Amino acid sequence: MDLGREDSEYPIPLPNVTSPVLKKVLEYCDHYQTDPLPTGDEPSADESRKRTTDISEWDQKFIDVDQEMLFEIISAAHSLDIKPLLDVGCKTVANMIKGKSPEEIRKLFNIVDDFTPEEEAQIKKENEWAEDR
Amino acid sequence: MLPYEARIGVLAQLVVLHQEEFERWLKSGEWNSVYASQQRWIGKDAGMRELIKLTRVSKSWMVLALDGQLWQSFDLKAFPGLAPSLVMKIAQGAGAFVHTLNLQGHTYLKPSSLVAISSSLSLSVEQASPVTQLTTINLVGCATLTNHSLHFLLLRSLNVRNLYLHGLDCVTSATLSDILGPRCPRLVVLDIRRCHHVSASGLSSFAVQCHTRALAERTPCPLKVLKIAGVKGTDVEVMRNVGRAFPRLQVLDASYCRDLTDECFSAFVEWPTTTTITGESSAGTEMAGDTGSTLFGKFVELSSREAGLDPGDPSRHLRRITSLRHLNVSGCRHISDKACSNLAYCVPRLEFLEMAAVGGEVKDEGLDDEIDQED
Repeated sequence: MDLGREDSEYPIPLPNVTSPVLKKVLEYCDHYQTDPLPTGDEPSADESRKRTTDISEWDQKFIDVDQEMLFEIISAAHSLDIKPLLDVGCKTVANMIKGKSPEEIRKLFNIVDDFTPEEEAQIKKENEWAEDR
Repeated sequence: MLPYEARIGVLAQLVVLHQEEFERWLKSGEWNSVYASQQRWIGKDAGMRELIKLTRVSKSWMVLALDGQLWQSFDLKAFPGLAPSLVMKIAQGAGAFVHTLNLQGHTYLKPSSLVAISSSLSLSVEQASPVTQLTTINLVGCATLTNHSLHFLLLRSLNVRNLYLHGLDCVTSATLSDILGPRCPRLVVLDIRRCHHVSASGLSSFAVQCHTRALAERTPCPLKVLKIAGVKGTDVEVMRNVGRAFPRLQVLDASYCRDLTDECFSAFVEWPTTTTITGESSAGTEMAGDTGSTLFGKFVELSSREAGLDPGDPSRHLRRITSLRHLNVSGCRHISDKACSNLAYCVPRLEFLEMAAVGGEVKDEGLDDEIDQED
């Protein structure tokens, strides 16, 4: 980021971003510094960016990291307000979820099923219609 | 652990993935009838279905999947089998974010459920009645609703623009005269086709109230689409009031309003005589009247022959130029080609005219008048 000579004297604290993650974020920013992606804040531009930003080949290689690093990249993108990187990260996780059953998702992300048997039965009944094909 | 907003972002992208997948199928030509018959949900509907399935993962995932940011469009048309308890959970999560309420096809939706949903979607403001932010409401097919539950929702939805209540028995004349007329000034689309408890007097009262408000506020009523198919008792006075109240009307579906006559359309395009007309005119010339007349649109001055009256009558007749693009009078057995003559010169934007089963009195002369003025 080009903050100007005066502001470069003061460090910017990034408490939630570790050094390896920052390295990856800088790699992303370096790659796109000459080819900027739309970053409009208007709702329609935001929607359009989400819809048209298919994960490119470079992005796919870039984001091909372990789950912990992936989540840290998403967190860093969120803290640093880098919307395109946030979208790439979110889309990658969404692809991991897509089409999986609740049991498979729990296994993938080590989630504990905290429903009681009665709650589970109620929800299963509510979701019966969604199981039909 | 990801920040909450990032987790919402992941689920939002999940819906987007389904939409993009469907668009890819369409572009690639893979989408065909065989594939369509195998897929019950596609695009956004498939994404929303997956969101609902995620409520089973854990309690925190349930809170995430039902977050209001993902449900700004409360469009459950594709899920008529949704359990009422789940509909309520979604409504409670969605809250006042929601702008569109589409429960079309939810035939078993109870009145108490609609009241509860309305309360969930409402924003409570100090010293004021709770209001929703709904701009579109579609309750077509919700056959078990009561008048009270419908009015409960509408009284909280004063900004509604598009209202689809086709075929509902809970819609009555009081809905028009006591709720929509005085309290919903932003209506653009009103579909009350086949609402058997709506009478022409209710429709007329609605129109008069809209007209009175337009005069008071010096702003024409924004209604563009009015579908009143099957309303009984639509006579000359009703159509006169409708014509005056809704100068921006583009679509009028008055099919199977069996009391409609040719004279009703003469009244529909009648220019209000209370308005002062300025400027000189010649036959068939459009004129923009003074400030008062712009509330009703523009008018045209016609000879008696042009107006479909006795050619020997030297009087000049003012007719309102409408914005009508689509007029449906199918099934109106008392309509003849004279209705077309009455509308001639007044519907320059007309693109669709439906006159099926109007009886045997449609002759070429009336239709020729209609077509000639368009050229």
